[in-house]
Amino acid sequence: MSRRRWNEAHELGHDKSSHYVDDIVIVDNNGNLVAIQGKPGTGKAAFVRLIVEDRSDQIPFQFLSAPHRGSAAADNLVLNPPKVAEFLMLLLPMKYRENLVGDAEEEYWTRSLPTFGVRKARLIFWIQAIHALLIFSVRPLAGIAGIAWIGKIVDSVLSQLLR
Amino acid sequence: MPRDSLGDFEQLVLLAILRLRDGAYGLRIREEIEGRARRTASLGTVYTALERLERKKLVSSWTGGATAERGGRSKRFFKVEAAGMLALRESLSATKRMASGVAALGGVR
Repeated sequence: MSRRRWNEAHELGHDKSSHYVDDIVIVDNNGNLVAIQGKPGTGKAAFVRLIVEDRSDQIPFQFLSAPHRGSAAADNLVLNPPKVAEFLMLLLPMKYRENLVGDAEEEYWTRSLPTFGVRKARLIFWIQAIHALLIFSVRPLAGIAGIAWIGKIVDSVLSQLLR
Repeated sequence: MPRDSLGDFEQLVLLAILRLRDGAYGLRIREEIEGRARRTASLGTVYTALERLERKKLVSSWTGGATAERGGRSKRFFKVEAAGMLALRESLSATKRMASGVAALGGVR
């Protein structure tokens, strides 16, 4: 659907769209093109997200706008979860690592990103990563070193941020 | 006192697993707790509780399928074991017995 619609949309003369990956094209009920960005590599309409910068699918189509392709705003738009946070999560215990990172990523794509937009979604991903690391990896060591109280304070701050 | 007394959060996790039946994995458990108990918890908190419960043999887990939105990573599903059911029942009835007749709680029986 995406490729065909994309071509149709271009033929109709719509040019105010961003196009980062192949599966990002949609036309609203009135036949107007709105810019949609999908998760790179999925190739499935099911993973198309109505995300344009910090706007989400909660916003009616008519309020969506897209940066021009090649504009500074478009070039700075990064949708993926933060790679460094994902890398840090490799320090989690082997048993739950894959599942926990998978859950964090699923939450990012299915809940945080559509609801909060890119920046907050990435922040939430970071908080999840740091909290998981703190609980699984740092806290046991802190207990041994007698500095568990620091962990408790950080834990409490991060819990507040997640609210 | 049962052998494996449950913490407050462990109770919530067990109840969430029971509510979700076959679809209980970390993220869904967390969402269930947030939605019903209105309690915020990070994924790390949920997984530490699950790890504790699994160590006590109150729950068991198995690896499920991976999906694209998880970056191809698998889910770990959880199931409450018979010992978990027993511990949960004992824990809930202990709470109920303690709350029974406390006037300050507004007549909880």
